[in-house]
Amino acid sequence: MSNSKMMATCKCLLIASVIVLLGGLAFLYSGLYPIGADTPHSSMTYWALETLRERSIVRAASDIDVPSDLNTPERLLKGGADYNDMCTGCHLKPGEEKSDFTLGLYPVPPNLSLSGGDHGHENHIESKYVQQRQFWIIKHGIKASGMPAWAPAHDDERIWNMVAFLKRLPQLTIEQYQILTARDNSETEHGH
Amino acid sequence: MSSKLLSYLTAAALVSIAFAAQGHNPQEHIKRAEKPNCSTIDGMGAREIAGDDSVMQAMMLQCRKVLTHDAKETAAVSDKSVNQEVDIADNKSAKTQH
Repeated sequence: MSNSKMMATCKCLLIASVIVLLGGLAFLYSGLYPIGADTPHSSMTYWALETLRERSIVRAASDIDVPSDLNTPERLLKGGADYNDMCTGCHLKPGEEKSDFTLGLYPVPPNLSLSGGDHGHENHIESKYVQQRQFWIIKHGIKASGMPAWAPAHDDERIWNMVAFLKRLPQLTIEQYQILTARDNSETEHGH
Repeated sequence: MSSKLLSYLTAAALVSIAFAAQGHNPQEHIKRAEKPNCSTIDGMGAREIAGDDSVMQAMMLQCRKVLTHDAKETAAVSDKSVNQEVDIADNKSAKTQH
């Protein structure tokens, strides 16, 4: 390709890029995009956001060391009590199918009392990746989703307790859940 | 402003933020705490209870805590009522002596 043709092509690409940029800014400022939680994204937008989220979590969580003692009764009790107090409003518990938050939030929070395949994510309960992912999400939250970052007020041990509980939650009956998550009045924990 | 003063002010600000960001204490939930309903364990067989499943072990641990706590409360209440009866008996005998 001769120099003059190359220059002409570059100019065209530059002009096209500026037009796309200006068009994008105009769209942003127009306010035309519906931002209400009760208006779902288009399929393409949803796919793009979902992919962005999952790929970001995979990258960020890949170096997390999973403790080898997640399957202990002590962790289940501590994690279960926290889950019951802080998470059931959005993520439900055995016997519940919906709440005000599951009806109103978008994207809809996954029902963690169901097994992975039923709540829309991979169903590899023993998978190290699932535990890394859950730990990372609880600790750091997810932007613009309603999922808060719990790290500012909860140390890593407390978060791992919740991951340990999430591993077993889909298998619990209502009665088992009630026993495991009841906060015994004789407990004497004092913060971290 | 000298750099030394600035570093002191920064440190003071960070310390005050650290105090404000104390961990969320589980004790805050005690007011809404409910006791575990351990009656559901009664119908279980010895094999289930003695198994190595961590859920079952956690349930037994939870219910053992509650039973111990309830036993202690019951003992404390009965001690108190025994002491009250002794006090009443002492008062009666003191009055009759006068």
